[in-house]
Formats: sequence, C-alpha cells, structure tokens
Amino acid sequence: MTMPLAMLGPPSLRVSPGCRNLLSLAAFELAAGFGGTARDHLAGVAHCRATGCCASPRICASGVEAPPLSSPQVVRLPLSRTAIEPVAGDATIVTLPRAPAAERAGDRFECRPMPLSRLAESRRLSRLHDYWRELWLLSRGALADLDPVRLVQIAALGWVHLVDAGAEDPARFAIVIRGWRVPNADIDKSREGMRLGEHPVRLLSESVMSEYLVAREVRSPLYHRVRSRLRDHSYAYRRLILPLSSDGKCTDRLLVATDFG
Amino acid sequence: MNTVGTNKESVPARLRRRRTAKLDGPHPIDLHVGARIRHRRAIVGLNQTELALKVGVTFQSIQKYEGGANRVSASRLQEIALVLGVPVSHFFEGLESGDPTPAPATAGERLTSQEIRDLNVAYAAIADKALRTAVLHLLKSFAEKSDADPTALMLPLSE
Repeated sequence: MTMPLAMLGPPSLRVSPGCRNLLSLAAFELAAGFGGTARDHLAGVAHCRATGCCASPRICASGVEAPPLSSPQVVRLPLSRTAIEPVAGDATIVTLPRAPAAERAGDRFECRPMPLSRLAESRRLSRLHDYWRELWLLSRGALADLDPVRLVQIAALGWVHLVDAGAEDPARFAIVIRGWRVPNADIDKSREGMRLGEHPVRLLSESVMSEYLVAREVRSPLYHRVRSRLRDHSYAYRRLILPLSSDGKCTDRLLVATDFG
Repeated sequence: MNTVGTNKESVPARLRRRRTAKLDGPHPIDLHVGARIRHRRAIVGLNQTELALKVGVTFQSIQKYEGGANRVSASRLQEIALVLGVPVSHFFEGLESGDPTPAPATAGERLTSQEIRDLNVAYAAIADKALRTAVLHLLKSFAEKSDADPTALMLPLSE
C-alpha cells in the first residue's frame, strides 16, 4: 500500500502546485483505504510530469493562490484554557506539562482556545467543520467515508494535516499527511511519517501534543488561535482539530486544518 | 475420495455456495471498477453527493459502489459513465485480461472433430441394431464412471 507514494517520492519544488494537490489527494485516498484510486491519481501525476499535460485541471486549480501570511507581529496571549466538556462520559482530559515560554531567544508559542461559534470568521474552517459534522453523524468520522473531493471543494487540500493519534503516548502521534501549503518554522523538519516527539522545536511540539491529545480524548472539535515566533519566523493562524477514526469505532486520527488568512 | 482441500472444480455443484461480498469480501473486479469511478469522479470534481444526485441514487450507494461493497449494474454503470464523460470501458481499464490458466475443457471440448467423426463412422458401420444399442449402453456406462472417478476406466496393465 505504501509503494505508490514512495515510488514518486515526497513532493519537491519541481512538482507544480497542481500536482501537489493531486499527490495530496492520492495520500488521502491511500489513508482512506482506496489504494486503487490513489494509484490512478499517482499515474496522473506521473503523466503530468512526463508530458507537462495536466491530468486534473479542476483539482490543480483548487486554491492555487495561497493567501499571504500575516505580518510578522508577535502578540502575547494568555495561555489559559477554557474548560472543555468531554463528549463521552468516560473521556478524560490529560494535561501535559506546558513547554517553557521560550526555548530559544525570541521564540514564543501562544495558543488560545476559541469557541466554535467563532468559526464563522474563517470560511474554510467553517465549511470543513460542517463537512466533519456530516461525517461524524454518518460513521463517527470513519476515514473510509471521507470524500477527499470535499476537501478540494472547501479549498482545504494542502492546508490540512492528517495525524495518526492512535498511540497512548502523544509523543508517538505521527504525521500521516502534511498539508503542503502550511508554512513551518523548520519547514524541512516537519515531514510525513515523523512522530511529534521527534520535532526539533520543542516549544511547538509540546503544545501540539497537548492539544492533539485533548482533541482525541474529548472526541470533539477544538478551535484555536495560534500566534508564534519560532526561529525568527512569526506566524498567526487559526487552527481547527477534528477527530476522525480509522475504523469508525475508536477515535485515532485527527484532521488538523489551518487558516493563515 | 478425499475432497478436503481440493480445488473448486472437484467440489460438487450442489455443495458450492455463491460468492458474497459479506463473506468473501468485495470481488476484485468490483473493487477495480469502484476505484476507477472514484478516481474519475475526483478528476471531474464531483463529490459523492453530487454524483449521486446526477445518477439518481443515494450517496451511500455511490460509497458502496466505490468501495466494491455493492456491484454496479450495467445500466447504472452506463449512467455513471455518461455523467463522468467517459465510455464504460474506462472503468475496466487496467484490469488484467483474465485468468492465465485456461478453464478445464468440458467433455465435449476435449474431443477433437476427427474423434467425433471416427466415432460416428464406426458406430454407423455396425449393422446389427442390437449390437449398436449394446455399444451405446457400454459408452454411456463408461461416461458415468468417468464423471465419478476417471481412474475407474483405466484397465490393469496385466490384462
């Protein structure tokens, strides 16, 4: 099952944005268990590379123009977390020790929980949340029922990560698919297949592990405003974490969407 | 005769059960067709609900077609092909041409034309009707034994 993606290698700068969309789509198909469809998508990428002829104009044209990043202004926000009620009675919230306020001179990472009612401020996240609700009602967010075309239509492809959150220890949560449009403080360090505990920027990984673990345990969407300054790069974005399931029974996958608009 | 672990051909027809997706999993061809539908749908940019509306089924049906859980009827496949703008053959592209080992020949196919002609001529050459009938009965009894156990027709070498 891993052969097709490995065959083509990770997306490189030589791949057009359109092909990256198709690669992303193939990765989601593979994660959803549709290996045959993923293989066909990858054949489209290979065809595009070989001939320069686009195999999927509709997918390639989706969200090609990335919105500009916000200005590199760092705003400090309180780190307090609002109380989150678990969806199921037996769910528990595990609190991890917070990362130090600064890891490297000037580094900051601030994550503020936001109510879902504020999702309307991001059209992409709001639409993604609507789709997730459909999926959750249908099959408790089973990956097999995920229709990646909906991600294209929402213009979320490339802005979402798929995380394997099946491990007990959040340090062993792994990035299955990394949204290729999402900027990163250490852009080459965060990669598909990497476990969160391996991320070199601890300030970021400690916070992310904590939030991902909470999302998995409460089995409910979490919406955050994140402002950070990491390795001389500043970011401000909205993040939506959505619980999914690999088998429709237990929550062990997370769809993490970002909006830098 | 021990039938445990024998291939499908040796299992009597009355004991064979019909293949079902529930017990045996989706048929490989249904999986292939489903994957091709899903791929083409993505290329065209239709989600499952949109395709379902155009074809006149529920989106769950599209899900089942794509996953191979439900087999797509010929007429439905034609409708899907029309909506997705491809010929029906598109959904079968990439399938291997078939089982590389040919199916065992039937009794009729095993006989060459020459054998049939020779048998016919020899049978017709028997003038005595009672003898012809006896030969026919003999052949029929051989045929029955052949169905049950092919080795029953083999004569000991000492005879």
